[in-house]
Amino acid sequence: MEVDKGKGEAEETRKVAEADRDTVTLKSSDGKLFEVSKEAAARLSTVLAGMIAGGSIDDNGTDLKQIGSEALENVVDYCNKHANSIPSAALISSSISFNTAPFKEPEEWERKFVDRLSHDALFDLVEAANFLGMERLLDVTCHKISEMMKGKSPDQIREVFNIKNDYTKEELEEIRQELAWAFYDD
Amino acid sequence: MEEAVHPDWSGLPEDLTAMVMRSLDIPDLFSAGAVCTSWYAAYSAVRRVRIPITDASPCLLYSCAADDDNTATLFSPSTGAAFKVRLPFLVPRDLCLVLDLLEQRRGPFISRTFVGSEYSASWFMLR
Repeated sequence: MEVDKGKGEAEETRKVAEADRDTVTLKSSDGKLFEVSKEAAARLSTVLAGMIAGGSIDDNGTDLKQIGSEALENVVDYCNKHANSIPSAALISSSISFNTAPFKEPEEWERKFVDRLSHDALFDLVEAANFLGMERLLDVTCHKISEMMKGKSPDQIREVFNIKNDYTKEELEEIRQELAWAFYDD
Repeated sequence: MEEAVHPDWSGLPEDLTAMVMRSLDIPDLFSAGAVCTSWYAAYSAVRRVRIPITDASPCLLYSCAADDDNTATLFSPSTGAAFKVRLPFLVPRDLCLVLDLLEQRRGPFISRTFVGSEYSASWFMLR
């Protein structure tokens, strides 16, 4: 009886200690470990919030098999930076939406954060943000990608995004008719 | 930033590509849709939400003080849809014009002739 009780208490203490930790450890697909602020992770990622609430966070590194180390490093970096930043009025007040809601304007530091990324890193980060249910980071990365498209012809977009034109000649003619405006520079 | 190897962005999942396109105005949205077949699929999904004009009823084209010199707003009274369009020439600040959309089965878009010099000439005469 006594032994069992003691064991129960120890278990209890361990759980409390775990709950008291203010960081969580995440493990990338290639086995690298990253520490992230628990508060920020729970606030910024619906998936991590669910894992923290559900107790499925592993002290030795919670496996995120879908996310490579570079992308996870950026995710963690973003969360930790966010933990230290005070949301500005721009972030709190919803921007004026026009027919659809474009993205909330990124903060200055968020803009810089995505501006320094390579295309590869940006590609992986937007997928990671999607996987982790990070609405804000998705907004910031999608905003950056849309900025890369603006004011460009289809050909220029293909060049920037390394995309092959896979339309047949007939399809292309149809597209040209349907999307005539995209071709007014031709 | 220059990299040795670029990722092929046509491989981005369609829902993410669509998410990116949602913030694009015209003609950027059209340009993005014309890039490749997978982006066209994303574009089609976005267009249904952003430009839900399914008939050829007249639209209203007007300028807003807050917009830049090349941007006008197209409003479809029959559907309640409104969206920004960027034109390849300066938009008069006092623009307010009723516009007939082309009767095209495939969907709503504005005649190419509208953005050509001919139409813009007659447009200015209308004022």
